[in-house]
Amino acid sequence: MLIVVPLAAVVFFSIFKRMAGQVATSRDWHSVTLSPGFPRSLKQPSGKDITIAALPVRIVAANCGAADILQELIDPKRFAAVPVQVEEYAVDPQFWKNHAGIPRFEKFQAERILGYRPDLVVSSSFQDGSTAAAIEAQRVPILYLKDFEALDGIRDTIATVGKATGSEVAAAKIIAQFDAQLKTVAEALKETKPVTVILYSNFGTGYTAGSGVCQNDIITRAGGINLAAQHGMKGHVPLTFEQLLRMDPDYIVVSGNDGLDSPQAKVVLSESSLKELRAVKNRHIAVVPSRYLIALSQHAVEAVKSVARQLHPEAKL
Amino acid sequence: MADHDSVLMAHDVSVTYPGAIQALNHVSVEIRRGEFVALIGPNGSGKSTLLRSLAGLMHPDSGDVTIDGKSARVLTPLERARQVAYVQSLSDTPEYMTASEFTLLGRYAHLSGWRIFSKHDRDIAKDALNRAGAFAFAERFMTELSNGERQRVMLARALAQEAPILLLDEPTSALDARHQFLTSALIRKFCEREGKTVVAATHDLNLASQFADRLYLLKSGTVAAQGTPLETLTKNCLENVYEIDVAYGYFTETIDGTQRPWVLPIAPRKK
Amino acid sequence: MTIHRRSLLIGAVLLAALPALMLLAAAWAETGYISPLAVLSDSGIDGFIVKLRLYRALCAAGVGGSLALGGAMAQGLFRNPLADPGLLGVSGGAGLGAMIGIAVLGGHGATLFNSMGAHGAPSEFISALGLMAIPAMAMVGAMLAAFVVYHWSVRQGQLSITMILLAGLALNSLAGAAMAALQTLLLDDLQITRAIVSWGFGTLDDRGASHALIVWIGAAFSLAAIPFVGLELDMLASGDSDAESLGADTRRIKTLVLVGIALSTATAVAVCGQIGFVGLLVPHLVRRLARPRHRSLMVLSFLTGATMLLSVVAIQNGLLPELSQQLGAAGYATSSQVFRRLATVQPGVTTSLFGAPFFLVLLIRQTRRW
Repeated sequence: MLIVVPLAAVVFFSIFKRMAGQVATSRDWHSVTLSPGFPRSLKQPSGKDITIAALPVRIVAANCGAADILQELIDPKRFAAVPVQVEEYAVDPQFWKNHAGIPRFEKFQAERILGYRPDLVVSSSFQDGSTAAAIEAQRVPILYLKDFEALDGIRDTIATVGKATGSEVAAAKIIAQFDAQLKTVAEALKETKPVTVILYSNFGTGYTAGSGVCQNDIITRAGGINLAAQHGMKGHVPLTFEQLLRMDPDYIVVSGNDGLDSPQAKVVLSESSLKELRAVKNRHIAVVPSRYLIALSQHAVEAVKSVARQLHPEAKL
Repeated sequence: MADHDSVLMAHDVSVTYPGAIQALNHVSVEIRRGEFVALIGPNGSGKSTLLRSLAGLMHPDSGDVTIDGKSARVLTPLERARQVAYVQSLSDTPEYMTASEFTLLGRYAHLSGWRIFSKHDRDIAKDALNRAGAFAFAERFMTELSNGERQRVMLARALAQEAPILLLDEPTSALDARHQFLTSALIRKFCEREGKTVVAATHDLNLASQFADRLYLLKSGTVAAQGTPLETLTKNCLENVYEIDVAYGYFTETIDGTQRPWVLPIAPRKK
Repeated sequence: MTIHRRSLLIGAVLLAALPALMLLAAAWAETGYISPLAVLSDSGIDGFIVKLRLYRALCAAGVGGSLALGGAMAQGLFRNPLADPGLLGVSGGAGLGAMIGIAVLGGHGATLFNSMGAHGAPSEFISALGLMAIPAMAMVGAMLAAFVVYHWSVRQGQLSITMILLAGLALNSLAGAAMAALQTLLLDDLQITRAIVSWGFGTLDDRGASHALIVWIGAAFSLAAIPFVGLELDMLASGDSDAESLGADTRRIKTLVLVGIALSTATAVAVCGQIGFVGLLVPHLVRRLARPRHRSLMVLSFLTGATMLLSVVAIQNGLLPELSQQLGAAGYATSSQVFRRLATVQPGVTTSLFGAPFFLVLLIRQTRRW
């Protein structure tokens, strides 16, 4: 008994492995068309190098951020699938409503994704590791978008995605647009004086963003001084009422889609402990749609514009 | 001599445990004031069940138990505790309690709303420990005492309750020969000197014979015999109920001069 | 020193420590030192901040005391030193209630009532009501759970301890499953998910007067029960029939204890989320130090629990930021950052981190003695 069982297990296992291997080698999702510049290898900032065999025509966006970037770089026909959340959380939900023919998936799960027979998956680094491993085991390259600490990082990201999808020209155009918009904002704000700002969210506990995250850069470029960063806070950290009261910023930035009627804005305006804040008294609450504020794509510039408009109405952006 | 008013009564009481085990089958007993009644019988004959029913800790499925004229069902636990003190044969020993603290709990039924022990309560508890012969180890922890010592403390607690009726379940089972005798004599004294009514369930036929006024012999949930020790402990009766052969004799000296038999089990009866 | 005197001494020390710790917590917190007297003299921001700090300290003391008292009661009721108020299903019920509240009212209950005010600026009372919506739902969930457990455990007019344990277990599993299902269904809504996670961690920050009031009302009720169940729990330790024979109405006592546990735990969890280990650890600690009977055990547990959580707040939210500041000024940037982050760790996490090994040590020493 002691010999038979492990032996059977080994035999079973090797047969299984062989079958899996066979499937991989005999399968090629797409016809290998000769595309200029392909195959190419990319050095990923956050992971191992990937090799893309041919121009990807069946691209899966693993999350909304990836979908946002890809949307402006590639022809919609090249999308194999996008997450179902795009209709709510993407930067341009209308686009996705207009292209209802693109398949949607609810969960980023290996079997489902592989069912779309993708030749490229674009994801962010916080996707489930074992799912990614399963996809990569089927020789499907996954491009990971890196988190970045400042808006400059977006340029690299867009360039990388452009290179991976063979859309370098479109990527360069987007980057140029991005830079231009940032420059416009900077110009408009040249004459204005920076105001003090705290980024705030409260879903039971108050949180703010200090230095080293994208939101900080957004605030700075929008003509604000992030008091949390000034006080040495790094990353997303809790912020008590006490600390907020002491800092007493000119403006408080929250995320929301309905202006001052947004839940987070109402939280700040109605909290009795905060009513002595200047920002509350003057109703200087800047509300930014969350899809812009947490955007990992070129649309982060919309956040800059939105914040700048509210912090400096005199700049007439 | 006992008065002839009944202070504790079970009338046609039946108790069935889950699993259709009939513990008591239409049993009626009558205990008179100042008596010492012993409940004897083999294991499973229903002695403990009868005792618990008489204490009001268990309500029978049919029939009624009256304590001093009132049905046990309508009495609150506090009212019952003032009338009846019940001493179990085995109970969990609470940790971190000294014998005197344990005994003091017996005063619970007499406490005021705020549950504070008065000096009077403490005096009574001390006296109870004395009478039960447990004063020597009053300040020791209950967990440190031997079984026999613990039994005496439990008796002390029952005495501290100052209830006129004392129900004891195997009060001498853990005691050595000498203390069995002393404790039984002590219990007898409670009846004679203090007028308490005592009902004790016991395995010890000879102690029952020596000290009890009356006996109830139970078998399989019914009363097989009742009466004085002489009337109940007949050779015939014992051989039928216990299914043993007995040697038989009479005590030369008895507490009240009446004739009381002693019995010695010899061998189990061959079926 | 007799045990009795030792208990009194410990009680006195704790009673003295509580106001001292409150002063400490009022003087030092995230933004540095303020004289506690400012709450009386200063009508500006300093006074207000000290008031905020005091509310937090009051909540900490109330929650710590309530949880510890609940633990002592549970250990007495179940006659088991490993008992915890959570066994009754109260924490599960509270969690589920809060989650349902969050799901229905949105990420922050305050917004529900805000439209009621004139010109979009609701009165303080109404916004306070809104803020209380989630804790209220948690309370409802907790008391409902306790009621269900009680109901399932009554057998033939007696309250069966085994049934309470089983019913509590069943209810906790049910609540856990329901919460997991709800979370999965609501995963899409970022706001709600964040609110749920936030609630799960528990917090003592930014608590207001109403929070402190709720906690202390619950604590007051449970403390008031002590004279009526303390002695009785001692009696119950020898068994139900033993206690009954002495005159104790066991069903009423168990009900009272259950209500006490449910109330104290429900208010604590509803207002400040899950804070673990206090209910389990503190009665053990008290038993080791004072070896008292249930009456003093419960009182001392309350005082110890209050002191414990208050110390956590005073040290973590008071001294650590101060330390961080000093280190930063002295040029030790990394250590400064480390201490700053340590100061933001939720109290529930701290109690578990320190409570678990401490409890283990206690257990090992206990078994060695025997």
